[in-house]
Amino acid sequence: MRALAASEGEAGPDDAGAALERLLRGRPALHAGFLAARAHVGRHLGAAGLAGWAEDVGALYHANAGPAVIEALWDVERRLLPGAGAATLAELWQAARALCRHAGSRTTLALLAPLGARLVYGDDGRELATRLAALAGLAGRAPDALAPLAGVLARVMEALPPEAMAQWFADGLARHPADRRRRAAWFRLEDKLALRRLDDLAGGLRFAPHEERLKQLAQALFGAEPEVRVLAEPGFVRPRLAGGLLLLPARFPDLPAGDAAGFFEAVVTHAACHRAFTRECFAVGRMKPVQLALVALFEDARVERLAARRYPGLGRLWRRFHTVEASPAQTVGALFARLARALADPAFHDGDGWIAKARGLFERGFAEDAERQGFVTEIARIVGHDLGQLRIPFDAKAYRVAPAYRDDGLGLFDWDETDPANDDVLELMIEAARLRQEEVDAAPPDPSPPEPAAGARLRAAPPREEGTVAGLYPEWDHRLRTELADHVTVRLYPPAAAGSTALAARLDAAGAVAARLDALMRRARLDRPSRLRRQLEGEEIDLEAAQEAMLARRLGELPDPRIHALKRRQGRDVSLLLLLDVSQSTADPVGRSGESVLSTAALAVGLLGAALDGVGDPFAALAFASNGREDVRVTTVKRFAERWDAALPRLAGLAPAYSTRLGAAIRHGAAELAPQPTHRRVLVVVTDGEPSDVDVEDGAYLAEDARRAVAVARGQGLDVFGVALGPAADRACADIFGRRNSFPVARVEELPARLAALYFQLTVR
Amino acid sequence: MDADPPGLDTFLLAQEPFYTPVGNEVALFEAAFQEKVPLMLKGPTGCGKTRFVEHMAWRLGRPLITIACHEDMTAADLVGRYLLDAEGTVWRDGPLTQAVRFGAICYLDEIVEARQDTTVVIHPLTDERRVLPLDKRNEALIAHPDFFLVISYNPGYQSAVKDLKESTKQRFAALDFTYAEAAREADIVAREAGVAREVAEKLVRIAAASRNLGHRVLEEGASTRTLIRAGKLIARGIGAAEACDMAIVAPLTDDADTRGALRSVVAACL
Repeated sequence: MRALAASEGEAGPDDAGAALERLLRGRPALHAGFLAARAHVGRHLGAAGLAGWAEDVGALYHANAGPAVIEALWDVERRLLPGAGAATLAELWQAARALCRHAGSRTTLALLAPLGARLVYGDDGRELATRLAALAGLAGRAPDALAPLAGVLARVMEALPPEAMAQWFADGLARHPADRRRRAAWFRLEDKLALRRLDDLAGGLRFAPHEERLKQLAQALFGAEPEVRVLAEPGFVRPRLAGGLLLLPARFPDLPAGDAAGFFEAVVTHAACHRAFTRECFAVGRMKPVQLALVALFEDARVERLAARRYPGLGRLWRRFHTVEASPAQTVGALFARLARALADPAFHDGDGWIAKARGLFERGFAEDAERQGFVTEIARIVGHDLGQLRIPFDAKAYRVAPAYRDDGLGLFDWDETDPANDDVLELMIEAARLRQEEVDAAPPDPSPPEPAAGARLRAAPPREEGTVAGLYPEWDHRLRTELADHVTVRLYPPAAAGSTALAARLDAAGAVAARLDALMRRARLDRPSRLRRQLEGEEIDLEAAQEAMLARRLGELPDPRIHALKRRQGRDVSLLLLLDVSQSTADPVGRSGESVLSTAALAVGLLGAALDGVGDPFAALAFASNGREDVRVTTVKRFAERWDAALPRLAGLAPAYSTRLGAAIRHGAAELAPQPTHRRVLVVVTDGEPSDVDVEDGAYLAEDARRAVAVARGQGLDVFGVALGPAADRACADIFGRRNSFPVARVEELPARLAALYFQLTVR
Repeated sequence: MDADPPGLDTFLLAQEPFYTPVGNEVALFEAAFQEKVPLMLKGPTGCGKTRFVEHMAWRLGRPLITIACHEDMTAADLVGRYLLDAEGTVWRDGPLTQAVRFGAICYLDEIVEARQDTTVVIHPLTDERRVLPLDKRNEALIAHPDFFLVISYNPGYQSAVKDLKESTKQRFAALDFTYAEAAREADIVAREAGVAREVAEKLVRIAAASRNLGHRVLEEGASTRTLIRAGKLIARGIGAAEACDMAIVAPLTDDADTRGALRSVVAACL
């Protein structure tokens, strides 16, 4: 059959390949390759397949692809053919033609090289075809992107499966639809966001989405909550215990894909086992690196077994990640991985004698006294020595703990007790010292907000360059239609000192307004309805009272006429957080008075604050500005748990500067407001313009992000409103907060009279 | 004008309610009963307070009148009221009055749920006077010698709005309840739910882990009652993981992260 197909392929005069073959006779180099490829393809696909194939080759040839591209494809085919079908091959040729047409043959050739390099002989070619199609699609939309991409394609393919790669292309185009220079930077991986998206798409292995759940899990199972830090550093690829901290690499290069939830669960529970059962650090003494690695391996097995006695499900969870199979391989990595599995999985059988001996020793030691940590060191010495006898070298630098969920073991040792003559462990020691340093560096900024009494101390301190980090918030990229996690850093800046006498005088001058506001506020009633019994009038009969009234009549007494019940909203149960825009534009003068927007807004806030203070609504105010996404500057004007008087000097001290990154400010405000235990929680943003920032050029980006932030805050049950100062802000606010929830104040000088009234209006609706 | 004295026989317990003592509480209860010192049972939900009272009522051979307190309960709901019928007005004793009149154990369950002004009607019953004033009937009802008042009180619910008045609290002697220790709790679950001992032990381990989250992310951990419920579902042939999800995890919390954590706890313990 095969011979027949081959002879047909060579001989058939009316074959589609014949015309091409005649054409190629004029180019001897290509001709020879063609004949060989045709014979090869014919052998695998038969005559029918060959006709289509020749057509595709011809089409590429006529598309001026150049001999190098065609030869490269023939080369790819040679490796694919046992596994790939005719349809896949056709896709390859068509995609290559599209690539050549849009990007030219030189770029195509540059892209084919890394693609071909990943091929295994006998591969079915599906992955290659999908990737080529994605590249062809990209070429159709932005041919200029391909040349920059060629240099990093191998890296991109390494990180992303084909579908995710196509998504990453689409993200790049969405992000930079017009700007060629920036697009090139994206596809050259010089754009930071491009790298981030690459990481995000590389399997979604971020710890953050699992953090809260796993902290609670560790607390539930072991009674202690782990403190976790994620560190992005080259070469840091395994979890590490550092004192009370669990350090996690940002990326795990050799991770089983698709089960991030289970994987991080395994990581956190394994670390928690050490905290629960590794009672003291192991002394290093004169142990060699190989013995240290074995101590860690045995100790891992010991603590896991102890935990699995109580929680058998954890044992099953960890075993999911022991995927190494029995094999005769005699490298340290392979042996250790199999030994780890042998200790974790009683059903695992491996023929290796060293593993069998180590397993036997461990079983005996564990059966004797599982709580005694010391037996681990003893057997590590013995089997480590055996490994030396077998002449199996151990490279401490290249060694990676397997499976990936386990910590790298360095945190289990007490490096102070190292024998000075023990040179071999020096490198590990440095590494361990480095992690101590990181532990110090990674220590969190004091998370508790400064006490109310600290106001004076804060003012006394010299102004600092950078505020303390108050939180990392995501940002919505409307082009990518995704949230960029931890994208924005909100920093707290201490309020500036300023005399509040001027402001106080202006507040006094506005006494009439203040009185009217006060009256308004007291009338506002917003609580949940409660039932009032024994009323003279109402919506329903109070049965109890009616009964008594009837009784009184029967008994000849005077009945109490209050026999109705009604539902009323009573008392106030609302808290307010006010976000005040203090960007540079608020320095503009307002109307004839010459006061700036900011000082007018400060007066308005002052009036509102005084009114709220009288009514007793919990109230906080934050001022915000931004200087790029790493520095969203928030100043606390008034905290919830603070008297109003204390806030006045800070309100007076606000100074306009920087830009308006509204979304981040709203997220931060929402995070502050959300824990308030009131029935209604109201977030009011006072801003004088559209969102903008120095590092954003796309005009819609920040507005869309702010819109998203508002939607998320509403999802948390907060009521979010915008007060827009001036016509430009009105348009932006209507988009961000919705028409019904934004309140335009066209003449800014009216704001003091209107702000509190607005608050009243929106809290009774 | 009085309604016929209702027989309190319906309030007598026919069978011994199953109860495993955790400590000396049976003797303490008996002593309090003999001395007629009103009792307050404190403890988390579902740890067996109500079952204990039932058990003691059976043991002492007294009828037990249980009143589940709620926010809309009025003093008349406890004490009684005049009702109208074709003939005229009829006085109807409330459950508390019945117990006082005929000498039953009166158990006010979750008393903090009732409004504070309602609960003051019990004050005259809880000191030496032992009388219940029925102002509408112009009567001061002297308590039957066997009348005994027990209330339950869950300290976990304490908040500014829902707490007992100090004057109410101090009229009672208190017995602290907590969940039985693991082995005994497993016995209880195995017996009440009719599941194998190993299954009961796993359930108890799940509960112990969930109680580690109590007062932090959960109001309270899983109670013995929820374990028994889960056990009963398992005994009916429902898969253990599903039964725990239905009876323990889902009722405890609506937070996605906490649910995830609890499901992992269940998976780890099974």
